[in-house]
Amino acid sequence: MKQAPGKVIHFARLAILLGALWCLAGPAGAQSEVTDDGAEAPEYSKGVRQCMTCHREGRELPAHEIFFTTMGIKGDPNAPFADGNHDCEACHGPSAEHLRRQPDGSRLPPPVTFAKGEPAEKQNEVCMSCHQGQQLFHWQGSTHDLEGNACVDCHDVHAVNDAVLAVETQPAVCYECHQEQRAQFLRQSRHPVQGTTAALSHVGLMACTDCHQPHGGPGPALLARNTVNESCYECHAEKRGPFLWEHAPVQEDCSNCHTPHGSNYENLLVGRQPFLCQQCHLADFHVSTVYSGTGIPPDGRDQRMLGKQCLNCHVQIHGSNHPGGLGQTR
Amino acid sequence: MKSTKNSILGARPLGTVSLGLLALGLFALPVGAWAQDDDEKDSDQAADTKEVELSPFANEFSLGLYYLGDDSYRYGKYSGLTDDGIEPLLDFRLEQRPEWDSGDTVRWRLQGWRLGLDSRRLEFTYNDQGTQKFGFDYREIPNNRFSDGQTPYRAVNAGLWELAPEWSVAPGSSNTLGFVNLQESLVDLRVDTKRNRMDLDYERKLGPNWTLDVDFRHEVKDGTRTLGGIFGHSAANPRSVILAAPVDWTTDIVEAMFEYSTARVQFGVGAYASFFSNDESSLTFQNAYGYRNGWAPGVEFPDAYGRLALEPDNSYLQFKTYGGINLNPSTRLTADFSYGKMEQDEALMPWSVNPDLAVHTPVPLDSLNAEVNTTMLNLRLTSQLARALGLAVNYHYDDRDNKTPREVWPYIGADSQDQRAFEDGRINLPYSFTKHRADATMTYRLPRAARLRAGVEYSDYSRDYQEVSDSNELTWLVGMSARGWGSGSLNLDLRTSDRDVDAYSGNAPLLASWLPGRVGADDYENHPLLRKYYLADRDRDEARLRADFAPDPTVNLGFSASYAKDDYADGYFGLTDAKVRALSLDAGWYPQEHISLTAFYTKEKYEAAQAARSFFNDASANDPANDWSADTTDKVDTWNFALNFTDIGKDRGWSGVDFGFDYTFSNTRSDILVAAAPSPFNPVGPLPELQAKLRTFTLWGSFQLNGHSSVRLAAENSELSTTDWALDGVATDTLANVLLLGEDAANYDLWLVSASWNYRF
Repeated sequence: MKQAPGKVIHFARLAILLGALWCLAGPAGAQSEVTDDGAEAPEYSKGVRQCMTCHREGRELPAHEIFFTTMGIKGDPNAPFADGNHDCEACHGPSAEHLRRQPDGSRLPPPVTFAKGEPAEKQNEVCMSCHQGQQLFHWQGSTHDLEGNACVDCHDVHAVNDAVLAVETQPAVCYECHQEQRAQFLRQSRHPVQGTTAALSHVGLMACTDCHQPHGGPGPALLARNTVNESCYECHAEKRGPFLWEHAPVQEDCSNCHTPHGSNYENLLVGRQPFLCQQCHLADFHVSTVYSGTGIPPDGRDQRMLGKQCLNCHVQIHGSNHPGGLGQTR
Repeated sequence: MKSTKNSILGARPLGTVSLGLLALGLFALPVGAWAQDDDEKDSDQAADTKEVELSPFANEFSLGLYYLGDDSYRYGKYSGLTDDGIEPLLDFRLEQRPEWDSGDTVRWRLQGWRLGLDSRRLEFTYNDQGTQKFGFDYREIPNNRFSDGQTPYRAVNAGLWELAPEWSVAPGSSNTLGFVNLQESLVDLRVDTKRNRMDLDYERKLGPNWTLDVDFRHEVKDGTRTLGGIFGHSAANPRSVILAAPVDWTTDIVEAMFEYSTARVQFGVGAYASFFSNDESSLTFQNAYGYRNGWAPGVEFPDAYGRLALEPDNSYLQFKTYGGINLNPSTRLTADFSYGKMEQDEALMPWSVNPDLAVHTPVPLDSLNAEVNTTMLNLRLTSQLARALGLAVNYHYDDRDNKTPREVWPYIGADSQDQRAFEDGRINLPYSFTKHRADATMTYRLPRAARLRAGVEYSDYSRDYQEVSDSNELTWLVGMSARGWGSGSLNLDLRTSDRDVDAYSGNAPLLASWLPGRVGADDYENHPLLRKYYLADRDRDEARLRADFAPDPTVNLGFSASYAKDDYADGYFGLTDAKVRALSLDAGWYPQEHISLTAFYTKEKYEAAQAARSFFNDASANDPANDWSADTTDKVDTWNFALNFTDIGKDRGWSGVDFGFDYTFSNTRSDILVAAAPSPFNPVGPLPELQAKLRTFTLWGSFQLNGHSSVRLAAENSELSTTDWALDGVATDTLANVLLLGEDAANYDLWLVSASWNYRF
């Protein structure tokens, strides 16, 4: 019996050792892909000036705005257009062959293209060879990564103004996949994120990235903060407390009662008082009383049905710091 | 004179206006290198590149006017455009980009939106690429609630509200029927808030791999919100007045991170600090009501005042660190950890503002000294196990450790009663919880950029002072994505989860909040059969589908559908099941280069069913004849059509003409069906449908006057139609025990017209 722990430790050590070897060496499957057939390395072209003979404004695949982006800055030694970084071919790979017409008059594509049919991993690897650090720290294994999204699905790297980076235009990019959220932001109770329409009544004062980190974040639902509540406290710090009289579901998760994008109900509530409250509060007398049309004019006038309803009296629903604030009444 | 033609490799011209604005001295950063001799560069570049017209322009002004046809506070909820008449329209953008091959790396942009309105925004970015970045962002965010409220209260100061001098109460009356001078006392009331937010971001490269990133936010939120002030505390004698409580909040946030990053290793360490302060710690109000049985003598109008605590100052400090390493080309390990401390130590108020009430025990603490420690750890291993097989494994730990002291609080019921006996005091419940979650997801890559995925997730949740101390949830998921199936793409996710609760002790919070022996082990507050939905056993199924298809280069079609169902255990009260279904269709048609027609339609249906029992003693609590139910169904239809013509005159040699229209309609209906056994004590009647219809039609056109100038005209018709049985036809004194503000549900139907002159250079 005394040998059992020793065996466990032994096997644990062995497992750790094997794991470490596997991590350092890489899986065999991955290694076997790397072959060197001795073929001549592909050639680079003469650079962006050659590319722009075809990819200029007005052509089928214009890329001329690249000069106005951070990519096209020669003075930054880390930029693709810096000396020695091969300009467009820093991302698209050595493309001299792409410039030569084939016998049928067509051209071969560059070694790396960012077309829809190309594997996202291959495309993203190019981007992540330069873009590392905090912004992309959580990318691998994130929801968008696991779904096979490519960087260019959202980013337009050739555009002088990448739409996904601006408050006003970013939501439209997100809505391309997140249709429900687009509809939710067109409701009367909503966070002020731009709906699809350009109308002033739908003006956007927030971006999706005010709360979300689309590259992956530490929190759920690609939130940039650790938790739902930490995200909400960014703008609603008054609800952080800690309070003397806390309301348990509030401190646990704001989304227990609120929906973040848009709602049929005021204050982004997920349901209507008093019924929402009664899903968790069912005490004697007024708390468990059935409320209905008999409580509103002309049939009745019940204080749990009119005005602020339950909040007519339970006023500090997010927490009270009054010594007599039990029940969030003060 | 600068040419409107320029090399595609040329720099943006910098106008004198933009230099003038920069000279405002917003930022003392090196700007001398920005000015470029564009013509000289152009001639250099022209030898080996073709000249084309620059597009788009870097600098732009829009000057004009808005004309709003009618007053509507709610229309301007977020835009700030609320009053009929004329308001200025002013947007601008000034920008300097370096010439790509000049060696210069500095670019900046100063941009303003809606500067004539209360939703104005100003942004400045400076980027010395590869060296440092600086950002400044100022936003004003209004939030108009309503402007048709009425109140008899007058603000003596922001934290003290007294009744109008003519206020009087009929002798012997203890409800709103006794407010004899109510109508004469009412004054109009607007309720709104406004945020003024400033963000400063600075990022500096400290070496080839080191970066310092500092963010700062200062936000002031002021205005008013509705808040009830009450007297009385038993179920029978509370009286409430709805007040316009002051909002005078300031939040400062600082976050600083040192980061190290190479292709193989990334590491960061930093701190986050958030400070909230409220200039008003309390709201004091005069009692409007006459004496009510159960109140202590002297609590009634005119001498008695009530006081409620407003949100206390608080702070949150957090230490953060993260690290990641690519163990080999296909394996990555990451970890991020944070430890934080929330604190709140505002001086506690006395039991009551009313000095005549008997007090035998002082408030046990001068201040709460509340403290919550938060700990979060994420570990993630991702690996490409084989050519097509990937794995992602996560572990997540989240802990909220509430260190706030627990005391006995023999409270005074809402400034209206003598202090309770000490043994009838209640003990505060500082909630803590700990979450563990582990998950693993496998992905398998198929040809043509398709992939399958499958995963499992297990989470464990433990809590203090709540009905459930420990629960766990097991989730299975499968999905697939395809990006390269011809001209289509597809994403499908299916999840099913099962949450199990170890034991549901409905009276656990009650027992924990009373002194030992004051309540029996079987006593209860909530009905013993109640299961709170966020704590209860639950089965959840989810499905989500997104498909895109482009049958022709000029057409794209999209389809989304989602389904989610929560099912709670039968035989209990509370939420019994909830279901969400959504369907979206979207399409774009681009028959010519300058014409686009887009449309989408989304249909959503939310359903929630709850069960309950009315009771007032043990006998009624055990009588199924008192059962009732409420089924809520929310239906939402959202439509949008947009047609845009851009540059339509260009082919005919005209100056550019753009025009388009946009139609959006959101129609929400909520039906709540309440059912109960027929009873003279629990009469049930139908509730009217809650509706909110928001329709917006926009028509606009832009006409190019010359190479730099254009005129833009736009008209917007917006209509909001809502019905709300809690507000419609409800006057300030409709309720006997609550003095309301009498605002109506939001409705408007108006036109907005704007005209602007745009100058680009």
